[in-house]
Amino acid sequence: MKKVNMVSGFALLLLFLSSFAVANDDAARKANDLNNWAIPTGDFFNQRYSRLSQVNSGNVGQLKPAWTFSTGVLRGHEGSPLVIDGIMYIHTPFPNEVYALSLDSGKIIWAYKPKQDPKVIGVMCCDTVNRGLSYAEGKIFLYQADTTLVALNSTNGKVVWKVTNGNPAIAETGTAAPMVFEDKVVVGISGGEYGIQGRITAYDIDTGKRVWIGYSQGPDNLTLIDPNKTTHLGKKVGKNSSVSTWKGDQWKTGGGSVWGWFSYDKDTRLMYYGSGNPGTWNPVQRPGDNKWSMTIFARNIDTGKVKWLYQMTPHDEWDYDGINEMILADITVKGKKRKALVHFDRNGFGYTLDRVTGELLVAEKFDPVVNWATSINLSTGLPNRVKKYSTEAGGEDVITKNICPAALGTKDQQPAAFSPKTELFYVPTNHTCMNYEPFKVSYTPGQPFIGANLDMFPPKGEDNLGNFIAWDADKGEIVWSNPERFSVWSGALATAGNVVFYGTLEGYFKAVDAVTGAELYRFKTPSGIIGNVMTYLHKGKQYVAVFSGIGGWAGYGIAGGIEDADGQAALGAIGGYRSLSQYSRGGGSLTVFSL
Amino acid sequence: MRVVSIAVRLGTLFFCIFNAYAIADNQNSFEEDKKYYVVDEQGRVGKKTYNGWRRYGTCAPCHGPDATGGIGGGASLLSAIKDKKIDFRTFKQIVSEGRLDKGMPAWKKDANVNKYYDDIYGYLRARSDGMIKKGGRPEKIPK
Repeated sequence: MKKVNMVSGFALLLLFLSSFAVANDDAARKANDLNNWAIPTGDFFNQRYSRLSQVNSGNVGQLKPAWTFSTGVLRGHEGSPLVIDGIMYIHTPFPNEVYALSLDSGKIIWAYKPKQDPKVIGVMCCDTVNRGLSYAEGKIFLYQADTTLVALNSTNGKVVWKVTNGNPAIAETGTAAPMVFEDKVVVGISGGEYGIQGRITAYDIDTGKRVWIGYSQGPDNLTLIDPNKTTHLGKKVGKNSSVSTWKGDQWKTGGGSVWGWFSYDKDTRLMYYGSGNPGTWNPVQRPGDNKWSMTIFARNIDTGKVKWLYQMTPHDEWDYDGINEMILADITVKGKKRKALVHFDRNGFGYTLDRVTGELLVAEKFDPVVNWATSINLSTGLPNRVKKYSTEAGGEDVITKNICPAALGTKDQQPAAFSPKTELFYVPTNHTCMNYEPFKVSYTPGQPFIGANLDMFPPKGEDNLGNFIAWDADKGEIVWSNPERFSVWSGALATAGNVVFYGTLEGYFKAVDAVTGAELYRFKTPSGIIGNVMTYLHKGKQYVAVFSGIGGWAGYGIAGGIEDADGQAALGAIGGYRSLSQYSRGGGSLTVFSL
Repeated sequence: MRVVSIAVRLGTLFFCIFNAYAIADNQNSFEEDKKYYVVDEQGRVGKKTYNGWRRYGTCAPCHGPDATGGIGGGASLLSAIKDKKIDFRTFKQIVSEGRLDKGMPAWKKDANVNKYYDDIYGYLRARSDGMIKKGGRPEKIPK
């Protein structure tokens, strides 16, 4: 009797242990350690929440800069550094240098300086940004502008392996952070303005061998959709759900790029992300729903197969990319505890879905000025479109006016944060509208495939281009809203100290009360902030840090050296953000704050 | 000796006359090529000139959003057209074949350019002539 119990007990122990033998257990453990910020998104759920409370709403007013570091590079500094075991890993915009800094001595322990053909700069639509590094098992992963994915030894910066993910000659580039889930490092691809084929690709973290590719568009064998298993709002999608919504071969220049953030739930074994705009920006040229652009994907991490998906903006007419972060949170929705996925889309709607089944629970505007649709039908998932703001209905060579939001959306890639303490989401938003004129274009490999010109401006009668809001994803309501002169283009951080941090395009680093939104601290950093705030502990002291370095789409005028160009340049951003020139110049630095 | 020198003088005469016609012809065509744009007294443009502004967008990364030269290394087109009296034929030749030694690609295979040489020339010529005062979206002549 005793022997049998021991054997079965041992078997159970083995089973228990094997369930933890997942390769990124290392990354997960490091991320749980409050000394670290080991994952670019804070955690796999993309909550950007820290359990640190040493800095709290009572004392954050006493924050001050503790130290700074200049990256030596200009142009838009997106993303944030990582901190793992007393070492800070810093990345830069093109040329994508990586520095490992000792937090004890401040010395640069190693540097990685990739050699890339500068021609790639010319095909990066929206500045030469890079959204950050990932870490797992002694390796730092960098995804370069030229689509090289490289694994560096985290101790000495030497290249362990490198692989080319895309082709810059046809304007495929890399801007998003690679993410490590289980035994894979996953990367997207940028170039939706150049008619590329959007996709997400998984590589083995040890060898760099490509394991699977999931295209956003094309026949089922490319998209990894199972006609009888993959569902859209609970219904099986059927055969060739993508190509059947495109005219002829147009899906081959169909965009659907993947350049945002990815989240992961180890219980569902699904990774969650969104696809970008369909090619071209001229909707008249590409009839059909253009699936699966503007879509939330849930893919199995082992095989890449799509379990469920949901297309938010069928037949896009405004460039409302679906790539923003998919925040996973276990919250109460309509009286029921749900494993939810919350997403603040470019199109101005804040969505709450069940991340297990893909059921749509809530979809409400997170800026009241949104006007291209009145609401989202929760059973069909379809937006109720307003003809007056349809660029398709307006037609080619006609300027359709006063559409809200502008193409850069009510929120672009700048990520929101979630606090399990308040159960609120903290969202950096844009408050802009546009005029949009579509026109006919032809596809030429490596050349822009856009076919639209835009003007951007604040909503009528208002002069603020942004708001920082708190959002209730159950009720679909704004709880509080702080207007900002410019779009809030930085990533937010929420903490257990009941403080929420973000940065502004003028360069202010700000702390606000998580419950009331009251501003508790601000500091003017050297340049506009488009980076993501992060926090860590070192020798028992809490630090909060953010990059400064204006750029990205909104800051393109200054970063790209064309701030005096006409208003329609940079897809309308020059006109919309012209006054940024009175507040910031280019820069590239990290400011680290403490009490 | 005398025959040769007569032949040389006649040859030189023909050469000069031929060149005089050629120069006059070039100046004439540059003058004539104002026909490629339509701009009214208020600086509003016709449909093809407006389209020329839009298609110029392909050139903007190198030649600047205002066609006055860009960080991409391209020359100021407004000065070039004005100072060198570049007519439509010359413009089309440069754009379609490119200036490979200077890093300008040949655009003859790009349908966003090769269908609209006339519109693009018209827009740039109108800017160069001062008929459209600045860059940016020109106002269209109402129907």
